[in-house]
Amino acid sequence: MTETLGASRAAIYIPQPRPDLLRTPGLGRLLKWRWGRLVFQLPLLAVAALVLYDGFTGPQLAPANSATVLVWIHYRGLVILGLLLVGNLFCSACPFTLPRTLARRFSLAGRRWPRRLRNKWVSLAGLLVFFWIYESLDLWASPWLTAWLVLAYFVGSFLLEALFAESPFCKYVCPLGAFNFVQSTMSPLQITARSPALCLDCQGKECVRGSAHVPGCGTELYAPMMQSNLDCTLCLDCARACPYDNVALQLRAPLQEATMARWPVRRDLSMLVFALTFMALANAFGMVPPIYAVQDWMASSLGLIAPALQLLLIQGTLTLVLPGLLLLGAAWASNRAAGGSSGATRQAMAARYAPTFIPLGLGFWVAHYGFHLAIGGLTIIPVLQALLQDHGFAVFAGRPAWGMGALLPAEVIFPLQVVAVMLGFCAALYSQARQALRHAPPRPALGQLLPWALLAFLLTLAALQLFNLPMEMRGTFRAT
Amino acid sequence: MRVLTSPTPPRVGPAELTLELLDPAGLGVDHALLQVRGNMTHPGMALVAGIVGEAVKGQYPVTFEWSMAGDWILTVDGQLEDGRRLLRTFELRVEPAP
Repeated sequence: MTETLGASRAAIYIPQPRPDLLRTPGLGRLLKWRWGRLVFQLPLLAVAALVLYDGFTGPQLAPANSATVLVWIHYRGLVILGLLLVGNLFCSACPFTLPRTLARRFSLAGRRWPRRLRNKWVSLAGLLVFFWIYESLDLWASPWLTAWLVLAYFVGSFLLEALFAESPFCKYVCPLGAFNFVQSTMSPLQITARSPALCLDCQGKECVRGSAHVPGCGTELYAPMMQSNLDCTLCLDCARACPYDNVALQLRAPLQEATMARWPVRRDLSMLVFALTFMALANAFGMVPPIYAVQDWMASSLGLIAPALQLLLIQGTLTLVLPGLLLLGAAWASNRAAGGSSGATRQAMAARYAPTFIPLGLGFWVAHYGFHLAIGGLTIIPVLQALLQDHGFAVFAGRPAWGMGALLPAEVIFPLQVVAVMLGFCAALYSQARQALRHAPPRPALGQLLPWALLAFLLTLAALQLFNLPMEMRGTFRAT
Repeated sequence: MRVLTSPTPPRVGPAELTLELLDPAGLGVDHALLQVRGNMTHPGMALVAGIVGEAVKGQYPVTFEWSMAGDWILTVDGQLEDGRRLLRTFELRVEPAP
């Protein structure tokens, strides 16, 4: 951290002057208020408490329980829309960090997260395990298991915060955080310093170290050097802690990061952002009929009978092995096609183009989770009516309107999915073209670009094919 | 009680279900007030309610519509003529439309 804070003037990022949300009358003041984060966390804490209560004690029929409806329909859908339209709102209002703040008071302060684990491999493994558990235990179909998952998040966050001095849970462990960090690189808002020059003369560096009343950045980001939303939980502690009111939450172009020149050359990061695009497809693949054919083939050809092992193999192949091989292969082909003129290593080439797949993946996630929100967004109303009725509040709740379901007419949902996928594809192509032209003249740039563009095209075709298949709500009976 | 489906196996689209309600001696039980609702196992899918017709010798016809392929839980909730409550669930797998 000392090295970071002692950065030279060259490392300071000077952003274009743009509208600053923290200067918005009223809202800016609320966001920077000492308890501003708590205002947004408390409603989500109440939702988490409801999920725990109803998940453990309510009806164990997923569509009739608020735990499963809120987590798998509303949380996922609203997270992805929030990331697309605003920023990392759900990390900002994350209720899991509330007991974590308590844990900080009892912390065995001083111990740092092990150096060997200070990367994104843990998050990547966490995402793989999360999606595997989701598929193999049919988490979406079990209010009880959904409640356990939420409880595990509270406990995990609390324990890691109690054991370590920083916030390793958010930065290195949390799969949801890893997902949000990566997708937020497409968000239209970013933390910056209003006047980076002022930061150079700042002695206290309160935005990172904290002030007497406000903690500094939990993930140890230094505002004037930030060029990315990666690792930013949007907690705004930096803005609250800065004694010079020099932190801004500025509007920016959503593709700014996918097209920027200096994306870190790190294997873990390249793999995480690339694999998340494949996870979007793998997660959707788990809900459509062809997965049965794959599982049947595994049983007959490989003798792999256990569904959990079948799903582990499918998930591992689709979200780790395949993207790993394709990332390496595309980087190699890109170098070859550029005629060796790129002057970049394979790793540098992968780091350059992997982020251009984030908008593609974001389009897939919007199409998938947006589908669930669109087709089932209103089902929470009868679920809450029934919950109130069961607890003696029938007068307020009325008779549960179980017929309520879709937010949008069914016939417009698939066209909207196609739009989301195609916009992601166009954004990926544009980002790739910008990256290629930044590093080479037009002709070699085209060669360099081709393998990545072809890959994006094939992934887009696969996504369109997947979303065009009838959804199956896969396998809950078959697995049991 | 058991459920018979037409078509068999169940497919997406309109369906005719038959609820067969028998007493321990195997005789049909009529005059029960029954409600039938179908839920998918995935949250976020609207409930589908069936329309239960008049029973003949314990056979209750139900007009129903499977709105999506996948796993369904059919809940039969009702009251027998003597006032006893009846609550049964059935797990069904619905195939995509041909």
